[in-house]
Amino acid sequence: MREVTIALAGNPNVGKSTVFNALTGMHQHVGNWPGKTVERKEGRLILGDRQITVVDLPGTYSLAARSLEEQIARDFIVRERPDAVVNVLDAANLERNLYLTAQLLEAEARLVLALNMADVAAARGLRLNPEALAAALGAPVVVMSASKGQGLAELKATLRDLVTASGRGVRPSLKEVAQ
Amino acid sequence: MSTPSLPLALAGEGATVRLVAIQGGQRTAHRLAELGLTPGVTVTVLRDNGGALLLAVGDTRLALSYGLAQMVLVTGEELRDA
Amino acid sequence: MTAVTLASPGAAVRYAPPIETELERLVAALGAIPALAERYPLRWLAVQLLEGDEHLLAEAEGLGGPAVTAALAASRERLAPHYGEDLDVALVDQRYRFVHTLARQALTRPAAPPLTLSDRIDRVVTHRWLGIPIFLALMWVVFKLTTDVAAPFVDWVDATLSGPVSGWATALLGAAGLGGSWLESLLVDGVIAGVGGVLVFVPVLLALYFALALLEDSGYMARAAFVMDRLMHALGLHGKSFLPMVVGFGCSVPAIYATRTLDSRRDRILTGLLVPFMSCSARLPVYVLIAAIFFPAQAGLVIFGLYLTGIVVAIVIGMLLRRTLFRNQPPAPFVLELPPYRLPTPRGVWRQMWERTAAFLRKATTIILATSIVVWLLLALPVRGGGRFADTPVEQSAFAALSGAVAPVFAPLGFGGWETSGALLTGFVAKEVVVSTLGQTYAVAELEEAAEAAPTNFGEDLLGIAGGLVSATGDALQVLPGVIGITLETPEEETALEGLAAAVRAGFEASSGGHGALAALAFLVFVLLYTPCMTAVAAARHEFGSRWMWVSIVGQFVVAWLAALLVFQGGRLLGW
Repeated sequence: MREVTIALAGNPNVGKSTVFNALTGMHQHVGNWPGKTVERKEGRLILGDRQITVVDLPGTYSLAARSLEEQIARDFIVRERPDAVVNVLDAANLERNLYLTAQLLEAEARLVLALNMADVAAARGLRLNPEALAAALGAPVVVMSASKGQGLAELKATLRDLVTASGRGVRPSLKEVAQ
Repeated sequence: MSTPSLPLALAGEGATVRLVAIQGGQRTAHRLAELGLTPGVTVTVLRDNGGALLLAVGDTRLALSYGLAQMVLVTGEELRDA
Repeated sequence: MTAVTLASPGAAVRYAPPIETELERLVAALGAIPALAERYPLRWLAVQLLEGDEHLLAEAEGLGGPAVTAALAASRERLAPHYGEDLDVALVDQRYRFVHTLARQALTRPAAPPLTLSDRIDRVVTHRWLGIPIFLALMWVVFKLTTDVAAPFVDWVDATLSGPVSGWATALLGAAGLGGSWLESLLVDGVIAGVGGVLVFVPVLLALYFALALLEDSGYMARAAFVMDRLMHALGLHGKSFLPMVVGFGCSVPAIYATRTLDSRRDRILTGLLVPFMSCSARLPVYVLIAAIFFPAQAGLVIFGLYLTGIVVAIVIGMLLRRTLFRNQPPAPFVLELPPYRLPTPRGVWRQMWERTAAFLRKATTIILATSIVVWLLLALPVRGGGRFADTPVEQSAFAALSGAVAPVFAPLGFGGWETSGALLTGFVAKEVVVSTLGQTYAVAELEEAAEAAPTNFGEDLLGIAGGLVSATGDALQVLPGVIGITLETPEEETALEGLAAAVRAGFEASSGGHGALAALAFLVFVLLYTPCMTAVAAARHEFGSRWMWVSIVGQFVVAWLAALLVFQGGRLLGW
């Protein structure tokens, strides 16, 4: 069985590391990106009988690769072609956060949107319509408040569906096709 | 609609203005645009501490130094004092 | 709640017609180059090239040759009448329009948006006059946490290591027939005393990282950058450089790497040169030890004063550098997001405390263990007198000879004793070793006695350790109200590492001609300012190159020497 890799992408300060910790628990490995001094966090997530590698990409506002962090995030998404990219967004600052989503879509990443901090959004009177967003993007959307543990089960279920769905479960990477 | 544009740095604390253009380096304009400072957005100056501005741009709060605020042109048509 | 729709995969951004036309042309041109088509999604690549991505352009030209250059130049030329120089901003703008439409579908806003709690807090915290006092008050609480609250736990760890743990090691070796051998000396005086001298300060680090995690996770740190922006301008920097500076209070190494968030090389180097003046947590054990010995009543004040001194020196050096090495280079303008305030979660805070302290401990078990053993070896080797290996008076050891050779450099500063100069030497390896070396040079004999003096059994030891922890927690809880200014009772006349205290005091008195406290203060200032540890030096070389690394090494040594000279000789002139 081919190893399945999922990347976490998102702006800084959206609770991405909370989501990462919740997904991988104690099964984490902290190192550096090859030849770089930026920290690389990787963890394991067991879903059913699948073991999934979760890579926490550096928090970035864009994929324009003007900083080292952006370059690392972009190279991973475009070159390594993870099986899915979980795009963690701040639901209370949706519009600005969706800018990165637009770039991820352009990079043809297979997206799962995690609208995090839904509790903060609700407190500000913002009403989310995840169905409309999912329909517009053609990608699953999970509403969550990771710091309170809400929505994690749904996120895991969505990821399980994604990696086990027949035919679509694992898509060969461009690199493998090339070889 | 013929109100002249002025640098954001001069807008003053409490002002709500509309962004017209970003002057200066291409790199700077690009970076600011990615953070949501695109032409047409409404910007509120929450705080002016004498060296930097604290801005509300949609749901985002940004700290912007005077240097950058000089490059951001806004119109005063919606300008009002808090 | 999960919403899944698989109806229209690949809903992507559509740009204005002229751009779309050029994207099609570029995709066709790029698609003709198999190496590129295999590597990248072509439409994405075309967008990046139009947006002016230099990395990708270089790579695409490398793989595709002049055909790529020509196709891109032609497309840009056809778009120039529409967008002029602002093609990349236009692309960003159109992406935002797509996003705006998306957000309108996905989000309903209340008719009258409430003033958020975050904004209300910011009204106070970022206030023009209140901002800086609030910042300083928070920093004061952080220092009280790392000194007074952590102190009882420090005593407890120390008592456990020098008492029961050393006792067990001696007993084990005795049972193996190695009692009194050089191996026992290595284990008890070298390893346990050396590494233990550092472990003692784990409570201090936990307290510091607890405070830093709270400041970061709550969102306050970004406000501090905004509030401090004006002050940072005095250094020729801006508020964003403040973040690496604050990280520098924890450790210079991540702080030097944190300069990467700055936009210009000038800001990165200037910040990197000033970061080591922010007193890192590894120097804190030295302050705690020396201050507890010489200034027991005002230890907190002395330590706070040292941190302030570091900041003031950084300001002065920053202004100097700005007018000399960095003349004609104005600071780059900055933009920084202020995330909404959030209540830190206990799990998140604990995770950061643990990860950072664990990283420190890993260092303690490698560099510091190695250094402790080397120092023990040098201490064990007799160069004078009639001592044998591992049984030689300290002052006749190789270490004393080596330290004595450099000691005259420090004589004008009041701490020309070989013990202190030896500790400063090992401090080049890692600052936390300064304390353990002092422990080894001053107290080798004393620790041995302590280990042999306590004939207890294992069960009693365990009970004693547990009881000590309980009473330490009690002491810390009593201190806690003092952090916000309430004092329940006067602090006890108890200092950490009592046996060592007398030896250190005598040493400073001797080397300074009877001005021990003044020499101790000069020593503290020197430790605060002198050349950072070799890990930080390596980080500086990695980030800024060898030239700037040497500027940092030599510059800081000179600054520290002059400042300590000023303290000691100045104090003498004033009649202290």
